[in-house]
Order: sequence, then C-alpha cells, then structure tokens
Amino acid sequence: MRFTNTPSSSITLVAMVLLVLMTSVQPGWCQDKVFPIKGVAGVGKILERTRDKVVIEKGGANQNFDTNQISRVLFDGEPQALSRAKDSVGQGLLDQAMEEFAKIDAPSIKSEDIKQDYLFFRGYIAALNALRGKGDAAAASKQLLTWAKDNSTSHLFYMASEALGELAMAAGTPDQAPRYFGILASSPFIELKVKGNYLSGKALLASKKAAEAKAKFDLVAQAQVSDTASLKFKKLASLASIQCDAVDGKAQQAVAALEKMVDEGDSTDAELYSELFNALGGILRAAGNNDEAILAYLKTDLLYASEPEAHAEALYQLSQLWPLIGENQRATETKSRLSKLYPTSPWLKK
Amino acid sequence: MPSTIAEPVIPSHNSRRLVGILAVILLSSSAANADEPAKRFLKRLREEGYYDQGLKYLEISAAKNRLPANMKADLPLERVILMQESLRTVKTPQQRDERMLAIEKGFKEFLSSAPTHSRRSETQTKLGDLLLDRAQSALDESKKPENVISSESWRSKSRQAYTEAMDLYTKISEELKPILESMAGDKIKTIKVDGKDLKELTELREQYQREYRQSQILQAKTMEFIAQTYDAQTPERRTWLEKAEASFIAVVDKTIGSQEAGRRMLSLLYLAEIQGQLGKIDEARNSYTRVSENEGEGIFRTWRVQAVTGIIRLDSSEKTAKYEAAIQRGEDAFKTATARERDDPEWLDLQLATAEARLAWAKTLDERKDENKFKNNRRAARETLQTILKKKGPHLVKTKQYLSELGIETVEKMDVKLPDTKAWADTIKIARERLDRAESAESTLPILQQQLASENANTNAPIQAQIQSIQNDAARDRKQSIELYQRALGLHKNSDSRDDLLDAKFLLAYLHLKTEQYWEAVALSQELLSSGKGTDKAQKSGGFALMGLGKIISEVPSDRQLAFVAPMERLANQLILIDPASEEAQNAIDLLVKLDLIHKHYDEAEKHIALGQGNSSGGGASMLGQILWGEYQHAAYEHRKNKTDEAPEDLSKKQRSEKMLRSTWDAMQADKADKNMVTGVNALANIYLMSDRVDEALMTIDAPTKGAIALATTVKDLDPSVQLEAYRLKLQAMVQAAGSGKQPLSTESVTQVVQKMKELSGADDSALTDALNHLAVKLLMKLESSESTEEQANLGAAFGVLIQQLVDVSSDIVILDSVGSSVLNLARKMLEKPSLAANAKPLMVIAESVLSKVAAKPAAELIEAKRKPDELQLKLALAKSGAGKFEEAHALFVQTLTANQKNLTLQVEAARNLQMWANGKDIELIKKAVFGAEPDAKKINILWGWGKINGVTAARVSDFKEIFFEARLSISSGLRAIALGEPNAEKKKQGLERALSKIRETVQTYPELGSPEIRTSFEKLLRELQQDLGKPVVGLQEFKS
Repeated sequence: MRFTNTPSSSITLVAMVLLVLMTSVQPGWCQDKVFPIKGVAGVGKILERTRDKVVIEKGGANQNFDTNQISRVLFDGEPQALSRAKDSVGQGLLDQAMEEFAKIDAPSIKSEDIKQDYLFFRGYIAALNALRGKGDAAAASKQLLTWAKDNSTSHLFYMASEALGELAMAAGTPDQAPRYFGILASSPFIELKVKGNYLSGKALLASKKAAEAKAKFDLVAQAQVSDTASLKFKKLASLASIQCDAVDGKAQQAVAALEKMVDEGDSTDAELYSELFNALGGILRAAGNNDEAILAYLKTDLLYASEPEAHAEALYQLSQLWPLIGENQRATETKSRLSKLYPTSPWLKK
Repeated sequence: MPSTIAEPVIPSHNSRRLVGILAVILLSSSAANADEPAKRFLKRLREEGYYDQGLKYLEISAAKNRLPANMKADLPLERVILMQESLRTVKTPQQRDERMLAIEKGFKEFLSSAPTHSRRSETQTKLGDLLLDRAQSALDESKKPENVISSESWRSKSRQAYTEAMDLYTKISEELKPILESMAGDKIKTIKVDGKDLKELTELREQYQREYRQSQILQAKTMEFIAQTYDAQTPERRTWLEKAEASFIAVVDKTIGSQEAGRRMLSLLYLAEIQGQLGKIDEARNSYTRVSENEGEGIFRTWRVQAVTGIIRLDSSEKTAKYEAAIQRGEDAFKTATARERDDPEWLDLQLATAEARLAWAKTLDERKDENKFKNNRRAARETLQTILKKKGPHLVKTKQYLSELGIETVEKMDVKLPDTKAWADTIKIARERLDRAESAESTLPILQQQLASENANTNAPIQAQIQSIQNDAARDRKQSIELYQRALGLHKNSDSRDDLLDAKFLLAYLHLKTEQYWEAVALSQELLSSGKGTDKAQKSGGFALMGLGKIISEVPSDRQLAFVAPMERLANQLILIDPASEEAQNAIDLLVKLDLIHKHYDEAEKHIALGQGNSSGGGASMLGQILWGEYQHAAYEHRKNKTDEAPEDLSKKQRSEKMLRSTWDAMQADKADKNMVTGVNALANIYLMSDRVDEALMTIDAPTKGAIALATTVKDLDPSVQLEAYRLKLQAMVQAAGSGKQPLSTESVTQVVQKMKELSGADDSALTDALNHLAVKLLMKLESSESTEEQANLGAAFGVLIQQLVDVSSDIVILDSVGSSVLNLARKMLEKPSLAANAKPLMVIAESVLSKVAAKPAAELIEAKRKPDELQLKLALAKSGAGKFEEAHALFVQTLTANQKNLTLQVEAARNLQMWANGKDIELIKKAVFGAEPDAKKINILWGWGKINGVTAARVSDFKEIFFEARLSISSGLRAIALGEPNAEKKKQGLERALSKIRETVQTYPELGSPEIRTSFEKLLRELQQDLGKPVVGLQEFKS
C-alpha cells in the first residue's frame, strides 16, 4: 500500500484516530444490539434471552423480539471481528466470515454471553463450511452439539438445530436429521413449524420412511401461512408428497401426478419447476427409465439454470446418467460445467 | 457442443454456406413461442446440439400424448428438421446419405399433407437446403481426380439437384405472392387465418415477406450454382450466369428501404461476384463499391471488407492492371482492422488479395529494370503470406501455393544494427518489429526443410545455408528485441499507455521463455499474472510461468526440486483463481502433483489435486490413483495372507484411488491420453471388477473412445503389457458378468479377445500365458473374497465356460497351453482353500481336456511352438489327478519320473495322486503312497512315496518345510489307514501306536508342527488315533508332559 502525505489524508487519519478514541471512551451505558429482519434495531441492555425471544431494555422500557424475526444480536463489548463475522454470515459471505472469525482472540473474551456466542459461531461457521463441501462435517457437528447441549435456551438454539439437521443430511445419515428439524417444528412460530416439518419430511423421505414423511408434508400443506418462505415450503411439500408415493412403489402414479403439476402450473415459476423436473428425473431414474430421466434433468439444466441448487443437482444427475446411454463425452462436459458453475456445491463431492 | 452462431460470411461458390449467410439476415420464421415449456425446451435442445435428445423428446412426448396442441400439428416437421440439424453429427458418408433420403422424404410428406400450413415455405426452404447440399456433394465428387471418367455424370447429378432446388424456390415465390397480395395494406384487417388476431396476422405477413425475398435470393444464387456445373467458357455457363445476374439485379431493385438493407447488400455482393465472372469489370466494381460504401456495423462491416477485397481482385486482374491502386486499397483497408479482427476470415482474405496484387504486379515488371519494385513487391507479398500462413482458414491453400511458387527468399540486406532509441513508443515499436521478423522468418523453416528433404545431397547446400542464416538472424532479432523491451521498460512514463506496458512485459516474458532464460521468464510472467488479474494476458503469462518453472525444475538436481513446490503452489492458486477449468490451471496442478509423487509426498499430492476443485483430470491424479491402488492391493494381500480384516485406512486408500482414477477418466479426452492415463483406466476397471461393480467395469472397458479397449488400440507407443491388461480385464469382466448372471459368455467375443491378446503377445507368447495366469489369479482373489458358495461356483463355472469355449474353437498350441495352464493354476490354488476346493474339480476337468488336446499334438508342432514335452506332461498329470483320472495321472508320473527321479515336486505330486486315488480305502495304494512304488530294474522305487520324501527333506527342513510336514502327516495318516485295515487286533494296535509315535517324534522335534493349518491336521489325526487306541482324546496335550 502506498501512503501519501497530503493534508487531506492527514486530516482523515486524525479524524479516524479520534473516532476510535471516542468510541473506546464511551460512557458506561450498555450497548447490546438486536437487529430484527425488518424494522429498527433495539439498542440497550439485553435482559432475557430464550429460544423464542430476546428482551432488551432501554430507558426503562422493554422491547421484545421473537427469535425468528431476529437477524443478529450483538453484545456490548464483543470483539469487532465477531460482529463482522456475524454480519458476513447473515449476508452469506462465508469466506469473509471465516476470515473475520479467525481474527478473534478467544482467550481475551471475558463475558459469558459473548463466549457462548463465540462458541456458537465457531460451530455454525464450521457447519456452513462443511455443508458447502469444504470443511470437516463431523467436527462441526460435534462442536455444535456440544454447544447445543449447554445452551438449549439460547436465542440461537433453532439455528443450531437446523444446522445439525443439515449436517446429518449431508453426512448421509438422514435418519438422524428429524430429531433436529423436529425442534424447529416444535417452536411456537408457524414459519419455523412449516420449515421444520418440511425438512423433517425430506429427511424421512431420504430415510425411505415414506409414510412418515408424507404425514409431515401434509402438515406443511395444511398450514395457514402467507409469508413467501412458508408458501415456498408449501409448494415444495406438495411435490415431495408425490415423491413419497413413488418411494411407496407408486412410481407410475407419482409420475402422472408430477406431470399434472407441470401441465397445470405456471412454468415461469423456476423454483418450483426446477424441483418438479428434478423430482421427475429422480423417480424415472429409480424406475430404470434413463431416457426420460435425462430429459427431465435436461429441462432443469436448459430451462431453469437460474436455480443454482436444483441446477447443480440436475448437472450431477446428468453426469451420472449420460454414461448409461453411452454418452461419456457429455458426462465429462456436464461434470466440468458442474465444477465450473458450482465449485462449492455438495453435489461435486458425491 | 455445436454452436448455433452463423459463421462469418465470405461470398462463395459453395452452396453449403448459403443457408448460414441467409440465416444472418433473415430471421427464422419458426421462432418458438417462448412461453411454452415444450417449445422452449425443444429450442434449447437444438441450441445446445442435443438433436438426438430432441428426437427422443418428441417421440416420448407424442407417445404419452403430452405435446401441446400447436406442437402436435408440427410434430412430423419438427422431427424432420431435427434430423436435418443432426446431419453434422453423422459420422459416415453412408449414414449421411441414408439420413438425407429420410429427411427429404419427411419434408415431402409434410408438404403434401399440409398444403396450407403456415410453416410451408419454411419447409420448402429447408428442403431446398437439402437439395443444395446434395448438389454440392455431387459437384465436389466431379472434381476429384479419381472421378475423372465419371465427372460428367456427377455434374449432371449436381445440376439436377440444383435445378430441383431452384424450382422449389420458384414455387415458394409463386405460392407466397398471391398470399402477400391478399394481406397487403389494410386488406389484412379483413382476412381471417386460424383465428389469429391482427398482431399475429401482421407478424405472419412479415414472416411471409421475409420468406418471399429469401426464396428470390436463393433462386438467383442457385442459378449461379447451376452455371458452375458447366465448364468455363461454355455458352451454358454464361447463359446461367446471365440469368443469375438478371435475377439479382431484380432483387436489388426491389429491396428498398432500411429494413431491406441487409438483403440488398448481400444481393449486391453476389451480383458483383457474378459480374466479375462474366468479365463485366465496371459493373462488378460498381456493385462492389455500393457495398463498400455502406456504413453499417456487424455483418455489414464484414460485407464491406469482402467488397473491398473484390475490388482489389478486379483491379489486380490482367485486364484491369491497376496494381498500385489495388495494393493501396488493401493496405488502407487493413489499417482499419482491429487486432481481434485481423484473424477473421474476411480480413485474412483481404491480406491474401493484397499479396496476390503484389505478385501479379511483380510478374509484369522487368526484374533488372525495375529491380527495387520487383523485389519489394515479392518481399512484401512473402511477408504477408508468411504472416497469414500461421492462421487457420480457407486462405491457407492459396497461401501455401504462392509461397511455394515464390521459392527460396533471396537474402536481402537487413537492418541488423541495434537502434539507439530514446522514446518509449519508438522502442517498443522496433522491439515488436524485431520479434515479428524473427517469428516470421522462422515460419518459413518448415517449407525450407520440406524442400531440403526433397533435394539430393549435391543440391541441398544453398537451402541448408539459407536455413542456418534464418536461424542466426532470428536469434539475433530476438536478442535485440529483448534488449529493446528492457530499455523500453525504463523509458515508460505514467502518461504512456498501460495496455502497451502490459503488452511489452508480456512479449518480453515470451522472449525470455523462447530464448531459454527461464528464471527471467518466470519472474516477469508472475508479475503479469498478479498485475493483470483476470485478463487473457494474465492467464497466458501463467502458462509462461508454468513452462518456465517446469523447465527449471526438470533441470535442477532431485534434492532441490521440492524447493519449487511453494512457488508452484502459489502459481497454481493464481491460475485457479482466474479460471479453474483453464488448461494452464490444470497443467499447474498436474505438474505440482507429479512433483509430489516423484518425492512420494502422497498426502501433499492429494491436497494439490483438490486444488482443481473436482477437475482431477491430469496425469498426476491418475498416477496417484494408481499408487494408492497399488498400496491398497499390497495391504489387501497382506491381510489375506495373515487372515486379518482390512483396516479403514486401507479401504480409504481404495476409495481415494477410485475417486481419482474415475474423475481423471471422466475428464479425460481420448486424443490426449498417454500411457500413464491408459494404465489408470485399466486400474479403474480393475477396481470395479474387484468390487463386483461389473456394469461400471464394462463401461470403463468398452466405452467407445476412451474405454480401456479403445485406448489400447488408439494411444500410440503403448507397451504390449498395458494393451494386454486391457484385454485381460475385458475377459475378466465377461467372466464376472456371466458369473453374476448379467450376460452370457459369447464364444465369438471370447475368441476375438484372446486372438487379439495373442497378436499383442507377438513372438513372446509367455506374455499371453502371463496375462491369462494373471486373469486366473484375479479370479481366484474374487473367489476368495466371495462369501457365497453359490457365487463362487458361478464364477468358477463362468471361467470354465470361457476356457471351454476357447478350447472348442481353437487348435492353436500357444492359446491352448496358455489357457490350460492358467485354469490348472486356478484350480490348484482353489484346492488349497478349503472353502473353494469343492469348486475346483470342474476346472480340473476342463484343464485336463485342454492340456490333453495340446499333448495330442505331434512332437514337432510342440517343439515349433516352443513347448517342452516334459513340462506339458507334468501339467497334464496334475490336471488328470485333479480331474479324478488317477490311474492315467499315475502312468504319466511314472513315465516322467523314470527319466528324472530326483524331481521332488513330481515325487510329491505322484504321492499325493496315489493318496487321492486310494481315497483312504485302498490299502495297497496307501502303502504305495507311503512306502513308494514302481521299482526299476535295480529294484529301486521310481516313485519315492512319503517315506523317502520325508527322508530327503528332513535334512533341509527349513527349505522344504511344507513338504516335510505334509510327508510326516501323510505317513502317520497312511500308517493309521493301513493299521485300521489290519484284521489282527494286536497288529492293528501296533500299527496305530506306530502312527501315533510318528506324530510324537514330529512334535518332540518340531513342536510348532509347521504352519497352523498343518498343526490342526496333526491334532485331528492324533485325536482319531487316541480314539482308535481307546486313550483319552486330548490331542497334542498328550505330549505336553
């Protein structure tokens, strides 16, 4: 880096030093912060933290935040690197989060709340890294589990549960996942219930427990919700419910039902249609109908590449299917596209 | 995947290009409605070149009645269009012809069944394309030297197809004309077509208008094609050209307004070309000029360049002889080309035309009188030709021809002094000139070397001198270029162009690399890689750095190579950051991995492979996969030997090995495979076979271009052992597939594979035997690892069938002996394993039958096939014994041992044979087995029996441990059997005590009793004896006190 000694840069530098000094000699009032997903942050002293709510007090008035509506919580006096890491996690910038987290001088943390937070994010970031296929899933799982055992009333407990469920899925032990996703489903928040039931259903389906999975998806389908995320789960649950039928040996009916959804739906809904065609591909492949399975996955590939997760899955499945019809070159090309487009996708590690 | 972008346009006589040209200016009328997934999907499949999948999609969707109504009507047409588009993927001319006939039939059927369909004229046009294609093929055939006799017939065929196409285009115009009249102006508001609203009708009218004009252009152009089917200067040719000219003039006159500009320009360009052929120079120049004056971008700019090129050619013709004007026009035009455009076909053609103008001018000059002009023109033409010679394209044929005609360059006085420049711009300009001069001069070397090869020793001296001189000059120019660039870097100021600075550094790095100054090249390239992040130059610089580092590493002593891992790692990471899939990134990783492997840092190698983010495509990954597989096999062997379970780390090695070999194979391009990669593919197939994944193994072995078999035949300089291994794997896969009931063994396939193996073995037929033995060993391992007796029996039976099929069809001694020996080996090894022994006999029967067939051959044939009769007899005796033909085996043992009694192996086998023959019941045979048999003239037993075998081996127990203990055990066992057959109770007891005492002696001398297996046998026998004698049955405990 090149420094120039211009007057203006000197002024900026002085101003920065002053700012830092001023911040470090703030008066003694507490500056915990709760950032909701929508709305104004609450600043003051956190009085209570449970799985379901965080209560913050400022000027004698208490403000309640439901945990499912919180974007992040910052404690007064927590290392800046920890705050930045939390912010990066929230934005999905995992590499940046890891970089910041590594800067934290853990032994210097004295506050129990911050220590708890630190340990959670250590495990959570490790989990996210493992889920993108880069880190050690078992170690991350162990860290989070240890944390969760000691902090079952934390406002971060649902996040930990969800991550543990995802880790179990990624580790190929979907039978372990419903116990974690079930915690979400047992929350008092309808959005989390929907998500928890949907994810439990997916895990049960992956464990070949089609009837139990279907029951979960039915719960999702019956839920009265209006938020975008839950509506998405409702949509996907109806699709997954059909997949349950296929696992139950009703592949033909499942294909017919999915095709009906294709015919009757709005094909510009890329999220649904990419899942629909992937589901179709999966059922057709399981039934040994490789030709049609390829066409189904090609629809996701060629028409709905805007959906990264579904697209990565379709590319992976195509790379497996092409050789079965003697198209090894296409398999290689598809695999290469998968690695180029989605270098951190878990599908690459399969 | 094929691209759908139309290639740049050059006016051409070739009708194959016509469709592409028109596609650029005439929007397709079949544009799909983007709102419908079915149409969109079909469109996307086409765009990506998945024609086969498109056809499959239509077929499946139609069968399931899942096509939208508006697609159902078009289904036959869509199918035929897909077939036509897939023509480019057809491999053989025969398939192409068949496909074309089917397409033609399909189009005609559609046209006759849908006379009012809105895509009728589109279909007619496509049918026309097909006819043009056929006509062009026939015309090409007519020009081939081998078709000189049938040339006229081919031309006639061509003419017929062109005429058919022309009639079709005429018909399109005729059909569309009244329709367009009925839709003209406000009339469109009153007409009704298939319930279309006004907007749709307007779109339909526009479509028809485009198709109408397109048909007129095609009609005119086809006339020109017809003209080409006649010889030059014939009246017919001229007549058709004149018709084409008139038609194009009519089109040009009618295409008015900006919307028609494209069609007008293209028609003018074609018109000019035809006028040129008719010798109407002024008219042609006028038409070209109208095109050259257009100011449009994109395709219009391309046409402008083509028009200028046309004018240059007109001006440099003998008739016009405006050479200087032509050259000036060419040079002026070329100055306007951007760096990227210079390699485009139209610009290369423009340079070619300029060079042609120079050569044409030089031809008209007097070499002495106009010496300078003559030489300058030839030199300039040569330089241009040498520059464009390095680019790919249709200009190459003429370029080579002109260079060849120019011959050897006369050595000219060159500016060889290093100029004393002071400014940045001047310095980089001259540096670049020196570099270009060096490169350009060297590009002539291949031509000179070719000439040198065709000269005789007496006349090649001048060429050799010229080559040497060019090489010296090029070396000097490069040296000067380096000095100039280095000087320039010191002269660069902030106000100078940064792009030029980047370019200068880039070329300097290249020069360092070229002049083998690797350290300098690496340093500069790495700087460029960091500073020019993401640019094409940065990536190429990475390639330079990689080459430089690779060279340095290869030249330093082995113990210093590891010092380069860190810089290489940094370089790989930088390249991956730019583009993980780039060749440079992959090569960097590969080099790094190979370095690790040389130094046996396998974990590091794996870490480095992972840098490629799933693209473990290099030879390094394959090599590591093979190493891990080798280590796993070694560990597995040890576990089998020690009867221990495989450890997780062993299994991990296998999994890692498979992962690496598979990902390498997936990413591998067959044309880039080398020996190492082929060995890796073989190893992968091996892994699949050993893991019972027969389908995957067969896929790996049989894949069309990069399967093990395909590679064994296509990759150059492969060792026969690698090739043989591929075929051995094929046999193994066939056996395993048959063993698991997946597919029956085909006699034909088995024979073909073994015959191919024999060919590969060449004179050294032991290679075939080794390969088949290897197969037997592998199958044995499979048998051992199998837990199901049924599976073992099936696998053994399948192997037997393979051998039997070979025996049935082959009388070749080498093949028969090889397979007989391998099946015998397999069976004998199976006998050693109690769990497999039961399945050995059928194989022994087969081995006996095969070896008997060999033994029945005349001695002379055996000798000619380099087979030793005594070895053969031993194998046959063993096989007979194993097959239960003990008496015949015995006779063979006697016969062989008579010649050489001291063969211990044979003596042991003969004793075993007697023992098996006795089956525990025939006392006489047991006596022979124990005490020996078949006395010779001196009353010495030819067959020693276990007694003498024991005596012989007792002196060297450490050398013959297994035989010694087997003999002791067999003696005790034989004595017991003899005693049990004794009717006298006292004698029986004595006999049994004798047998027991033999065991006691053995235990006292050798308490460990050989191996655990034989100790168990001793224990068992001892317990039987203790029971026979009424003693406490305590086994070896008896001797503890």
